[in-house]
This record gives sequence, C-alpha cells and structure tokens, in this order.
Amino acid sequence: MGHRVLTEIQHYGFGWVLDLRKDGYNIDTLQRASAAPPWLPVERSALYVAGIDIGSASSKALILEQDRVLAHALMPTGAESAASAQRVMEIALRQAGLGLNDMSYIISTGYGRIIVPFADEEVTELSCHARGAHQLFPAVRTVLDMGGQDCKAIRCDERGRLGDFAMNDKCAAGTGRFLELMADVLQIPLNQIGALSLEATGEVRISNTCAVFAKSEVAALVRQGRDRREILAGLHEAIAARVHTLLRKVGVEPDFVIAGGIGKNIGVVQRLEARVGLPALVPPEPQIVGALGAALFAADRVAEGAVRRQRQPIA
Amino acid sequence: MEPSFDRYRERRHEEARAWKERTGGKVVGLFCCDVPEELIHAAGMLPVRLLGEHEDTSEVDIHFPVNVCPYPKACFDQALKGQYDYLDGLVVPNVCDMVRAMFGSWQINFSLPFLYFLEVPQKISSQGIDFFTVELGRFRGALEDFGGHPIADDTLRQAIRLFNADRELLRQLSALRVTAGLPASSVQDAVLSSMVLPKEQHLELMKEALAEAATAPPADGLPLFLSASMLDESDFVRLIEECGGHIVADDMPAGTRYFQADVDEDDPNQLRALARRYLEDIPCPRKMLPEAHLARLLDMLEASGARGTIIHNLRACDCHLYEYPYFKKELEARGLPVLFFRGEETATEREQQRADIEAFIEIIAG
Amino acid sequence: MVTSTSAKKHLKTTLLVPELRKKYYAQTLADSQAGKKVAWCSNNIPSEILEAMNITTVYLENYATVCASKRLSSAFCRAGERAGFSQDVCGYARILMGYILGGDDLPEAPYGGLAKPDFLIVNSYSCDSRMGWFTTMARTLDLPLYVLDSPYQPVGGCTDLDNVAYTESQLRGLIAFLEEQTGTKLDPARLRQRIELAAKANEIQVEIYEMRKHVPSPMSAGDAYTVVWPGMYLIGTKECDQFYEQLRAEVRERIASNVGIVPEEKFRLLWSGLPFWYNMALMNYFEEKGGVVAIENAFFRHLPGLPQQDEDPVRDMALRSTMRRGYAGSIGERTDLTVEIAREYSVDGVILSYNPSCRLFYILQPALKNALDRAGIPTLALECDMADERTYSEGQVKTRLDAFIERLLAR
Repeated sequence: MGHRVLTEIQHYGFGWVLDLRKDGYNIDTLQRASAAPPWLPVERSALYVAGIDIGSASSKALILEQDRVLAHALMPTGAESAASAQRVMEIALRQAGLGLNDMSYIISTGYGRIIVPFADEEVTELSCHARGAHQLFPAVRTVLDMGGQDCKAIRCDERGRLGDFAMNDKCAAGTGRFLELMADVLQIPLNQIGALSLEATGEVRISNTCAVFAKSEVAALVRQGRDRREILAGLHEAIAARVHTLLRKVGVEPDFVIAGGIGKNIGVVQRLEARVGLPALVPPEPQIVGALGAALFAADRVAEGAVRRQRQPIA
Repeated sequence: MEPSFDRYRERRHEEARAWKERTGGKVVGLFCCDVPEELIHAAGMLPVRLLGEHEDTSEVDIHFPVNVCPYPKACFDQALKGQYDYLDGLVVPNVCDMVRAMFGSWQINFSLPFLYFLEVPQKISSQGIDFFTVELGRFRGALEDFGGHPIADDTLRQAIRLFNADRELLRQLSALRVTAGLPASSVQDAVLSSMVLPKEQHLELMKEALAEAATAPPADGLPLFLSASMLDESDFVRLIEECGGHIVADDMPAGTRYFQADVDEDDPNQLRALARRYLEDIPCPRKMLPEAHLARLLDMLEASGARGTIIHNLRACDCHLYEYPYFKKELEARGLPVLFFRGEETATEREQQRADIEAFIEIIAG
Repeated sequence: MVTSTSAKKHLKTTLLVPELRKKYYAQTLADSQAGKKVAWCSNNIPSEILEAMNITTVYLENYATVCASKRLSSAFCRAGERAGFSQDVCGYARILMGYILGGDDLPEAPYGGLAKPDFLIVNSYSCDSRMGWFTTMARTLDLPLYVLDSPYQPVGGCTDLDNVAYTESQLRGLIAFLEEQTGTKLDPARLRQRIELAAKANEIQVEIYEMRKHVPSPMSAGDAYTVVWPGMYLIGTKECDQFYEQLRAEVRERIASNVGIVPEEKFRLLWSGLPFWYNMALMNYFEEKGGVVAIENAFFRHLPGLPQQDEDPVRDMALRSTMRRGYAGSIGERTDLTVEIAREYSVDGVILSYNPSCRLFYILQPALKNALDRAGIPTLALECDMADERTYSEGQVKTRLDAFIERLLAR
C-alpha cells in the first residue's frame, strides 16, 4: 500500500510551488525557510496573517497572504521558547519581505503558545492541526501528529472542526525524541532509519518502548551482534503498535493524514498504514500543519472583525 | 520431562474445543483459586482457568487503562481476539477490583449464556463460612439450571475425591523439588495443565509424571523461594532456572496455592467443606490478613531450605503490593535476602530481570 | 507545578464548610484528650453505630484530601514510598502512611494532626487498597482492627435474605468488637435517632442533586465537592441536616431568581471520577469561557432512602443497605448511570478523570468513554492522580482543557 508523500514538484493548493525532497533534513541544525517565487510580487496592501507553532522540539512560523502561503520557517526550539518564537517569526517575515506590523492578526499554538509575546490569541495545536490538515486534504477525518515530544490522534469533521482527540505526552513512544535516541544508539542517521527498518527480513521483538529501558536494551542487542535493520524493524513495530493504540482511542476514519516530523519516517508510516488499513496522506512539509492551521484561524478572526493586541516590535 | 505439561497450556483452546466435540459438554471459564471447580465438574462441565498471553495490547487497551493488573486484562484480550469463543459460561469470584471488573466487562462485551458472580466473602470468619456455604448452594442451583439436571450429592462427593487425588499428586510432585531436585518449572507446568484439562485425564498424566520424575536428573541451582501474585505461564520460573536458581518452595496461585489444601471428605455437609477449603485455606492476600499469610510463608520457607526469596508482584496489584514492605522486612530480619520485581508482563522486561536475578544469585552464593 | 488550588465558591452556604471541618478535627482532638475512644475508619463505616456508642469517628480519606488541598501531598507521599509503598497504590494511603511513619522533612500536619486512634475499622468490600492500607496501619500502630464485610452485589440492590443475614452478622460483629474495646453498650434508641437524621440528610441531598438539573446551573462542582463533606463526615447529626436544609434553600432561591454560575452558559460538563484535590480551581477554569461543571458522578445521590424495614435498628441498617446500594456496582451499572446523568443534566461534554492510583474509578474510564461515544457525548481524558500532585503537569492539562473547550465552543 503506497502512501502519498508528494515527492515531485507540484502545486498543493496555494498557487506556488514547493520542492522539499531536494533539501536534506537534519533536525538538529535545520533553519529553513521557503520564499515565494520571484515572479509573485508582494503587495503591501494585501491582507497578511501569521500562525506560529512553538513545539517542545521545533518552532514554526507561517505567513498567509489571503489564501496563499507566502513564507514559512522552522527551527529547533531550544531552551528559550520566547526567543525562538521571535527568531522564527523574524525569519519568515524576512523571507516574505514584510514586517511584524504588516500582520493583521497572529495566532500562536503549540506547547509554548502562551509565551509568544506578539501573538494576538492562542489556539491549541489540536484545533490547529485539524484545521491545517483540512486545508491540505479536505476529506480528512483523522490526523495523527507525531511531534518531537508528544503524539496526538485527532478527529475532525467535514469542516475541519476539532472532534475527539487523545494525547500521549507522558511517554516517548511515537515521538521524534525517541527515534533520535535510537538512531544515536545505533549510530545511523535519523533520516535513514525508517527506510532501513523496511529492509529487514526478520524482526527483533521489542515490546518496551519506554525510552529508559529501550536504550539499554537496544545497546545490549547491538553488542550481541544482532542485525541493526532487524532491531530497527522491531523498534518501528513497537512504535507503530503504541501509536495504533492511541489512534484507536479516537477511531480512525478516512482520510487519514500524518503530520509532524515523523511523517517523513517511511518505516513508521507504512506500518501504521498496514495497521489501520488506510493509506496515510503526508503533506510535503508535515511539520508546518499546525502553524498553517493557526494562520487560517487568524484569517478567520480578521474576517470576523477581530482587533489585534498592542504589539511590541521584535527586538 | 514426559508428559510435557507445558504443551497442554499452549494448546488449551484446541483441547477444550476437542473435549466439547467429544462429549457435547459445556466449558465454564473461571478466574482465581476461589472458585470451587468441583461443583462445575460435578455438573458435568469442564472448568478451565483463564490464562493470558504476552501480546500486543492495542485491542484490549480500548477497554482497560494502562495501570491495571495485566493478568485479567490479558485474559480479556484473548476473549476479544476470539480465543475463548468456546466458553459456554464464566464464573467471576468476588476477589480483587480488576477481577471483579471482569464481570461487568464480560457482560457488556460478550453474550455468554452463563455468567455467574460468585460472592466470595472478603474476610475469613465463621460468619463468612456460613454465608459462603449458602452462596455455594446458590451457585450449585445455578449450575443445575444451566446444565438442565440436578447435581447429585454422590456425584459431588466423587468430584471432591477426584480433585483431592489430583492435588495430592501435585503435592508429591512439588515435594520432589526439595528431595530430588525436580525443576520447579515442571511443577508449575503440571499445575497450569491441571487448571485447563479434564481432571481424570490430568490425574493419569500426573501418575506418569511421578514415575518419570523418579528418574529425572536433579537440578542443582541455588535454592530459592518464589512468591508471586500471579504468573500464568512458567517462563519466569524458567528464567530463574536459567540463571542458576532452583525454586524449592512457592506461594503463588499457579503453584502451591492451587493444591496445598484438600476439601474435607469427612464433612457430611459438602458445601460447607468446600466453603472452608476455598475461604480459609488459600493464602490470598485479598482475604487472608498479612500476619497469617506471612506465617504460612515462613512455615514453607523453613521446611524448604531456601536461601533467598524472589517476590514477583504484577503492577497495580494492590493486594500484594501492600504486603510487600512487611514481608521484605520480616524476611530480611531472618537473614533471607529478597529480590523484588514489579512485573509488567512484557517480553522485554525478561532481559532486565535476568540481569537482576543473576546478580542476586551471585551475591547469595557468595 | 500547580499554580492555583482552591475552587471559587459561588454559594454562601459552601463557605460554612471550612469552619465545620476545622471544628470537627478540633473536636476529635478534644475528645481524645477527654478520654473518649477514637476510631480511625474508612469511608463506608457507618458512624451512626459508633456515635451511638459514644465513640469518636475519624475518617482517613478526608484527611488525605485535606493534605492534598494544602499542597502537602508530595512530601507525605514520598515518605510513604520511602517506607516501601509502590507509587501504584492509592494516593490517600501513601499520604497517611507517610504521616504515620513520620520523618524529619515532613511539613506540619493540618489541623494539628489526627486524634490518636484506639482501634481501626475498615470495610473490605469497596476496594482492595483499603484492606492493605488498614492492615498495615494496624500493624504499625499495634492496634486492633475490625474488618466489616458485606456481599458485593454487582447488580445493585437485592432482597436476598441470606445477603441481609451476612451483612447483619458483620454489623453485630462490629458492635461486639466495639463493646469489647470500650466497655460501653450500644444504645439502640440513639442509633435509631441517628439513622433517622442520616436518612433525612440523604433525602435533602437527593433533592439538591435533582435541582441541579436546572439550566442555568444553580450549583456546580466547584461548590459540590465541598458541600458533600458534612454528608460524609457529620452524618447523623442535627448540624448536618441543618446544613443541607440551608443549602437546599439557597439552591431554591438561585433557581427562583435564575441565578447561574456564569452570566451565559455556553457549555455544561460532567466530571467523572475524583477531582484533583490539590487543584480544585480547575472546576472554575471553564467559567472564563462560559462553561460550568454542572454535575459530578463521584458522590452522586439519586436514590431516596427506603422506609424503615425493621424495628431493630441494626437489622434495619442491614436490610436497607442490601436492598439499595449507594456505592459501586459492576462496570455496566456504573457506565449506564453516568450516561443517564449526562443526559438528564444536559451536559455537552464529560471529563474523564483517570486517577491511576484509585483503581475503583480508574478501571471504569475506558468503558465509560466507549459508552459515551455510543451516546454521542464528547469526552476528554485527563491523567492525573487525585491526591499525589507530582503526577500533575499544568501545561499538559491546560492544553487538553483548552482544546476540549475549543471543540465544544465550535459546535
């Protein structure tokens, strides 16, 4: 069963083009931004809104002009959430050639949503992911967001409104952090572990996905000389099992969308598809779904006549 | 050793289905040591203890949360997967919170023709015996209704004798752990098979096993005592044996608790005899107070010559977890080192347990 | 890191409770000084019997909630864990064990500490934890313990006389134990009087619960978890009845004047399971967004008492408690009841409180979610202990609450 990761250059609904597969992906050092193509002039009189998603691992900002994505940026969050918020917003603004006060409304989301100094409103990442996924895939009813430090299963209705949700924020299973840890123990680059896990012919059974125990267990298996692909297969299977349990708490209905960094891990994605019996739709940049949703909510607020807060300029 | 008892546990579902085909009889599942299986047997039905498997819990996690005893949860998981489709009935005794929950959950999720909640008193007293005797009368009546025929006193008498005979042979087999170095895993496998096979068949297997055991090579591990809340398979005991330990005595449901005491065949009131045995003589901490439970444990320990104790309590087992600090203190005060596990019943934890057990044995062996 | 603790009280009558509670604990200390016998009891022990024998009853679960509400749970739990009690076991038990076992780093105990007990009484049938906890205390304090048993009756009340006989024999066993411990005899007239007063308090509370169906809600969980206190710990006294009479009058008045908890009710919630005693302010959290926790299922009463069944007060108690169960029951009974409550109280959503150490409520929550899903009622799961505040994460809880509120408001 294939999954539709948009790997070629193609439109995806906003009138501009993306090619993200060409770029490498390294969660530790990444600071990326995507600029509008030069043939799209930026008009200062247009309506601009922004969404900013401060996750525990990475921060994302996205600027919308009417219904077009003008720019987005992503960077690791680091120790100071407020500083990351400002920095990532700055990068996105620079890419768009705009200033903070050009934004008619800014909504913050994510773990650090309440400490974004220039946000006009906070909306949880649950609602934002539902909304963002719906914009990208209008038939979506189930969104799985596997982020840096938590994992969320989200249901939404035909209008992208939030329904039932379940969160796993107490343990590492299904999070980027866990996979990073495992990649580190196995000495394999993070962006290869998924594909490698699919190459294994056998599988080492690992049922404990508690990061505390898994690390020493995996280290022991490596010392025993077990095939690393088989270890990876076992790890990915265990993760898929735990994530599947989370999904089942809310029930999985098509279309099924995967957001978050782990959407790029083909080993997890394919195993989940097998378990839920549905193709997984993964946007080309799975980590900005939350920020996109936040920006769309911001556009709604402007349409409703909402007034932004007094804003301090970015230092 | 032959007959390989562990095979029966592994193939319990096929065996039960085959029994139904052969005899046209009803299979009644049950939890815990508190249910007088003799009554079910006397009703012409096959009593089977529910046992779980260590599998992916994504199915059962929809019905039960994470921090609960894994044993009944694993049994429920088996039922969700259709493994227990052959059950005609289920008896849930009034024991602990999680087992009690099985009654309601089974009611909601499955439709068994016979689902009986056995009101076992949660306190040992003469009033409790009186009440339990009455309750066993009600239970007998319910079985008679379900089976469509009365349970004659003589039939019940024969069932009691049969079960006592099987228990006696299990006691003999278990004693060979001390006198002949018989591995405890064989004994536990014998117990587990007794819990799922027709008793007549098991009695014959026990006779064979005792004959065999006389010629089996003795184990030579460090003598240890095992106290467990519920181990529904023998892999943990095997692990201890692999690490160089030899369990010479135990206090666990799929072990000594199952066969230690007999039903008094001389009591003309058979139901009262059953009530006595099942309420007073099983050291289940839900009913038996810690001091009384410890006294029994110490008796067994002294007689066995064990040099250390391994205590394995399943997670969230309140009944055993409260006893633990007291038992640990008393055992250590008597010069017996204690190794404690709070078990999750996952395959992974075995490796960590292996390391701990090896270290424990090394320290004692010194 | 918990930032706020007490719930905001909307009703005047609620404000009487802290004083009543302080007086109660002070009285138990005074009683002990004056040579009265003191019993440490678990929640379901009928204080009517003890009071009729002039014995002071101290219920332990409440003291644990007091410690939790005064933000002392971490210290006491840690002390309990140091003594070997797993984090799996009841938060109340760990707090009390920590308190009993003591330690240098323990904070000062609330209300000057608990009155020293002369004996302990526990009921065995409500949950596993109580037995383990009370037997441990009895051994640690070297005191006599009476275990009160009763048939479980998963399907609720029944008229089986054998069940009644067993319950009665246990109650009489308790009385015999108390007579032996104290040298006093039970006064049946006094018992009868207290039974009658307790029945009256129950009647009034049932009425108040019924009135809470009103929209807008005249009283929400923020007040309810406090006003439930006299009914549990002062039961059988005139003071208790008077309190509930006053509360009923206030609720009636609020309904007559259409006074709600918030100016405009945008959504109504049911809280299922125990609250987080160290952060009751959560009950008011929804109010900023126009929401009320209209009802809770933990101490819910909807069954009026039965009329007197027997002249003899002890047999009467046995009959009534067999015929009508106010507590627990099988999963099916409890989920059906909660779904019914959700419908009758016009709730828009249910908060499922997964307290990992309170097995009794915890086991139920997934089954409850499934039942509510089938009934089309939105749910939210929160996973925090009711007493051990170390399990609480403000960010995680707030995110879930905020998202749930967003979901309900968007409908």
